[in-house]
Amino acid sequence: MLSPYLDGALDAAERETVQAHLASCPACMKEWEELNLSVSMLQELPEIAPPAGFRVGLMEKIDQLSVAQTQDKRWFNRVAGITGKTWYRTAAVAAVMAMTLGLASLWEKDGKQFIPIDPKTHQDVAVVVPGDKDKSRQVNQDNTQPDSSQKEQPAKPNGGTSGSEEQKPAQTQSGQSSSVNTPKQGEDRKTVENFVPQKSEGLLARSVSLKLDVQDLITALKAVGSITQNNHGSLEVPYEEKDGTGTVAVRIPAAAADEAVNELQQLGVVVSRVPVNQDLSVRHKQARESIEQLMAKKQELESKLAGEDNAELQKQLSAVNANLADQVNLIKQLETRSTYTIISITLI
Amino acid sequence: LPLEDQLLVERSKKGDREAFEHLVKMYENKVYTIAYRLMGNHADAADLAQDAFIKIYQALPNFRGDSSFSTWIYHITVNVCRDELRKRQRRPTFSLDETTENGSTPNELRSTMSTPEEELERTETQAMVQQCLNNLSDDYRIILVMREIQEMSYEEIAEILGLSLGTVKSRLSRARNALKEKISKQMELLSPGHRLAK
Repeated sequence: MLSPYLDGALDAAERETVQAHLASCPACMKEWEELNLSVSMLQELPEIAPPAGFRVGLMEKIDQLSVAQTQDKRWFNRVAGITGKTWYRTAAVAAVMAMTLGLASLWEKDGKQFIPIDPKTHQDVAVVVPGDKDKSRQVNQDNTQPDSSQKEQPAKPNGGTSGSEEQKPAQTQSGQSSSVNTPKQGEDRKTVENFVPQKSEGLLARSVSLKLDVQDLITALKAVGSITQNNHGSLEVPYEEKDGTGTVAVRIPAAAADEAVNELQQLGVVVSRVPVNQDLSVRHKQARESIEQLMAKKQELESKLAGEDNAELQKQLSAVNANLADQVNLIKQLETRSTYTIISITLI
Repeated sequence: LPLEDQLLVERSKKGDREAFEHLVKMYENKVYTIAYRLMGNHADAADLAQDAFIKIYQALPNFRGDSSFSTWIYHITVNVCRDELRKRQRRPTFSLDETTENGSTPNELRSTMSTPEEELERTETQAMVQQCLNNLSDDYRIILVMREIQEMSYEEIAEILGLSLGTVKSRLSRARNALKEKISKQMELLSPGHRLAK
């Protein structure tokens, strides 16, 4: 009874009973006083401040957590949530985003002046979601430039892997762009048969999200331009500015990425830095296995067709070929994606 | 919830690191205190208060404002500590901070030795109360912290601990009595005569 009495949780009748008893029983009165005192001593214990470094350590853990969490399936939502910016969503999807832009569209021809390009007129973006060709969408906002770049491409063997393009981005003509995601007709057979996939292990889509507090947006943007250029990088998502916040994403060859991030961090106060590594090995392995199966199927059909002319088998063969081309295309994108890091930069 | 806090919560939900850090700053003392009262030593308190904030960070998108933000985070803190205590019960660990009823010198006291006499007496009493709390069973300590420090209602405690109201009342009563027994004993030991004899 004493405990609820202490809390004032007894009704009037019960309360009176307790009070009456306490008044007449010294033993219970003593007990009540001790109880009351003990509880108030506990209630009066002070608030304690955490030890030094508590918050810093916590925030470090939280930063690491963002990295770890992005490894799992919800990485996409998580990253999109972090920035709340749609451009970042585009950059993050870049696990398999095959998008190349001539670097010269970023800088003037003398290579010194950084010019943020207008995405409305110069952007040629293609996004492919792996394994689902229907979801792929191609955004071609450059109406003034018909498919000239695409026509030039098929001549290149293994035309998709844009590694070679990364080595010489500065030489690319202004506005010229190439797309590696669309399978090119006529090229399929050759590339499919010659194609040797890499090992799946260790394939990563690397991205880093950097938020920098800088003195002047345009000065910082120019510096971003030179750092990108010096590290043989290219523009991934054009610069945009809204309410005093600038965003831009660049693509840097994997080997130079750490150096580039370090240099970028010198441009201002680092507000946040969130590396995001997405493991591509599982998808790569799946694609490799599909390719092996499809190749076997293809050989089987071809040997059957050598003996007889069968329209049904012919139809199956072309379906297998188309499927094979898609898988090879996907695997090439995955391999290409692992060769560079996308750095998304927010300047405030 | 004050408007400013509400904004901070909203920004944190969207992943704004700075906003979340600000919230941590606002609530870290309270969260740390709950963890310390429940765990009884600073090393565990720091670990679990951090764990609690990480949980809070992860659960933020699900926070709908049905309860007040502070209530919500204190609940999470208690739950994190309870889970840890439960884990340890299954696999008992021995900590240097765990001492018997007599003659312990908790960190809290050691670090404040140089304060004036009154201050010393006050912290000594506080350390004694914490020590008594540490020596109670986990169940008793948890319910006392929830009721006396977090000032939760019987109903809230019942909900969090998954107990009936009757069980909450009887457990609280027994926990208070157990604490009273320990404190009364310590008070005798701490009485001036006894201290001189020491």
